Amino acid sequence: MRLTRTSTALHGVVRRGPRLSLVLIAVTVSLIAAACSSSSSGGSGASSTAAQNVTLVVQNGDAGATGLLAAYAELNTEFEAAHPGVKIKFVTKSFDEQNNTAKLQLSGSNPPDVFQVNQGYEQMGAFVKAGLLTKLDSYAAKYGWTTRQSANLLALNGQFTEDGVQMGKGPLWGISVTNAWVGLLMNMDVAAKLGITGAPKTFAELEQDLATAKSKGGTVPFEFGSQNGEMPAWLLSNLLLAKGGPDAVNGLVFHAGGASFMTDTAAFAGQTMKDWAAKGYFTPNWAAYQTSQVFSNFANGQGLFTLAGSWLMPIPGTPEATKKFRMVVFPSESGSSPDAVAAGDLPWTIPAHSKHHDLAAEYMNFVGTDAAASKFVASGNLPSLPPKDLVAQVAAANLPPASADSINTGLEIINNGHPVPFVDWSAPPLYDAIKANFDKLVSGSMSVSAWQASLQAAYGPFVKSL
Amino acid sequence: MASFAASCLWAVREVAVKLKKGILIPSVLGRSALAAKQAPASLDREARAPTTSRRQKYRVPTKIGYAYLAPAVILYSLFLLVPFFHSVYLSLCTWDGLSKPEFVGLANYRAALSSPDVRDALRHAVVLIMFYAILTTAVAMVLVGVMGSMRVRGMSTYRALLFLPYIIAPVVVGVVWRWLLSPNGPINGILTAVGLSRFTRAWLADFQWALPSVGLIGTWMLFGLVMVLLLAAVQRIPTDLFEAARLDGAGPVREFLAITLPGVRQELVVVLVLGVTAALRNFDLIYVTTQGGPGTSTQVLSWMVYQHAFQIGDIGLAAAMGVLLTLIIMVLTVLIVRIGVWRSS
Repeated sequence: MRLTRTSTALHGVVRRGPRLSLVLIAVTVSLIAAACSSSSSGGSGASSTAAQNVTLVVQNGDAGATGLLAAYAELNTEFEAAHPGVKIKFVTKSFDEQNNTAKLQLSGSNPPDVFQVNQGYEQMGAFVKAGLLTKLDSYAAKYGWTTRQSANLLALNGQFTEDGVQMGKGPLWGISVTNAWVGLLMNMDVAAKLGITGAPKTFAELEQDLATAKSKGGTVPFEFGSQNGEMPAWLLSNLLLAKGGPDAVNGLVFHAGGASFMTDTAAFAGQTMKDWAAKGYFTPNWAAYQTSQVFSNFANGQGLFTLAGSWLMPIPGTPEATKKFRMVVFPSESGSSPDAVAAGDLPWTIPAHSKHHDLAAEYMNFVGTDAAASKFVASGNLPSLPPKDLVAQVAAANLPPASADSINTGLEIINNGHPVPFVDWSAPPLYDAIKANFDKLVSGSMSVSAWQASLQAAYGPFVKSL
Repeated sequence: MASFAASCLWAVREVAVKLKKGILIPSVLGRSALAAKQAPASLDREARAPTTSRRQKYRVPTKIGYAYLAPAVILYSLFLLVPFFHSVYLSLCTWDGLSKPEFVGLANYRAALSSPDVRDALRHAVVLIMFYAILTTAVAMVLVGVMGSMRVRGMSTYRALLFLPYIIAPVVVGVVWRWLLSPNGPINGILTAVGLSRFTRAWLADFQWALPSVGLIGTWMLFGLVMVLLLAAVQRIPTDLFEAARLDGAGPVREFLAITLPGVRQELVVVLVLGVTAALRNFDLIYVTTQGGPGTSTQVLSWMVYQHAFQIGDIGLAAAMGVLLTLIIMVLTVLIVRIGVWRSS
């Protein structure tokens, strides 16, 4: 991004005459280069996918994840070098924009060749049902993708029955090459001032720390913002997980028989949100803040805790300023196993209408290799295929503590704990229901049981309609 | 297919945009102007009457007129009417934007009309109309009164400055005001500085104040345009009317009620239509400032159309809400224009 801007600025400085000739030279050079590469490909008789002049359009929804995008930029250059004649057009969109335009892009006749599709019924399920994605099972067998990550991760991020009815079963449609999880960010400097020595291990300890922060004053116990709905959805997932364990969230998302929001677990989640707001744990005027503002306030040293996704790492700031932050698992009531809302980054898929299926699969394979994994680690991300010497690599990368936590603890969750999906994947209208009703619940204008009923109204009818 | 559907939804919004910009208004207003001419002439119209009758003596070739209209009509039908009627069709179906639309009759309309969220959204629209149409016009009228009576150097500069908010893109207006009204923003800062800190609040995140705040932002955005329209109308009133009134002993208030107000009646109709449509199809401001929150306290119909079409994927219901919104805007526009004509006759 920064490079492009500099180059345009330079063009602006160059006077008109020279600029025109520069353009002509560039055109000529590229024409000659094109001629050379096409003649060489004709002569050498290399494999059809790699040797032609092809532009592979790769579109992601990871805008803002600077570390991850830097790693992809390097991988793209390497892919182009390894596949002469192939040019990668790497398009970056925000998460919202990617999701909101996916339907139009995929159903058009000229979609990107490699495309990130959000997990869950609203996006991946609907596209599978409409036949807009390519089945990846034969590629998975060809490249050995099933040996690279656990069956659990493959199912969570890429499997759907062909009728779009059951998530986590059926053919493979997408694959995530990095993983992300949602956890508790903690400011250890603030904690030390409050006399809190370590991260909370159980949910009771977390509530104790929040109460301590509130009673001693001087800081916001829990930095929070509900304006764009993301944080209420994360908090809800985490509270369901803390009380009901992995089954509570999995049951809702995978539509297990009898799963609903009219449960004690959901009531506990609603009551906790209401209590925390009533006790003044949240940022005052939380409804005025979006996730990005909350995150930047926390990065500036405000607050004891906040919720954050590991994809937001590294926390911006100098090494000196960011060494006080740690990222831990949102503790459960028992505190026994490291369970967290964790899933692959938006999975890569091949749109059915893509013109370059094989090359697209080649690209998805390339960004999932060991070599690529090391690049993701160096940029502070947890690859789906963790290198054997991950801990050593993390140490060598000299990452800030919270970034190292996000990788090491992320691996711990995948290997020894239970990664569970985001609860709002379970039904398309649920995200908006969580967002709109959170404010009503915690402001006191809605009872916990009415809040449960409103979530159930967004969830139940959809499940029944499948 | 899906892209077509999106263009339909876009077209529905575009019709509303056109209404706001006045591209669609001439057909409606044209009729009212005609009616006004047929009505017993008021004072200033009497002055214009001879011109009108002289013009009527020329025979205007009418057939060739259609040829001139054709390009516009064809484009208009292609890009507005066809998509509009397609959205009407979609509003009668259940459709997720991907599979085959399934005809369900009026089910979407029943769902929309029985939804408490839609009723809330309409209530919010009424509040916004108070701000966008009524308050805006009142503020603009006062300014016109002040500016009309003042003779200050550089008046056109002031006028341009007051008009400025209207030419700024609504998204930019929203971002700026979100900052101004934020919990630690300048407006709360000023209140604290003058000792009114108990009135500070998160304006856009407060259940009671978010909607009026959005309304005020809209008023700020529109009043410049309304003022310029009304100012032009006031300047068209012959000055001898004011002189005559003053000779008859009318004070400023009487002068305003008896001469200024009737003189700008036509423009008031335009201004009210603009304000009402702006309030009803208010999307950009809501999107940038509150996203319908806190809770659903600033949710309006156009925001719900967006949500259902692009986030939830229930395009049939979204289309039904879009059609309802269009109908409401049309009915209100016709009503305002009719009332304007009735009062003048």
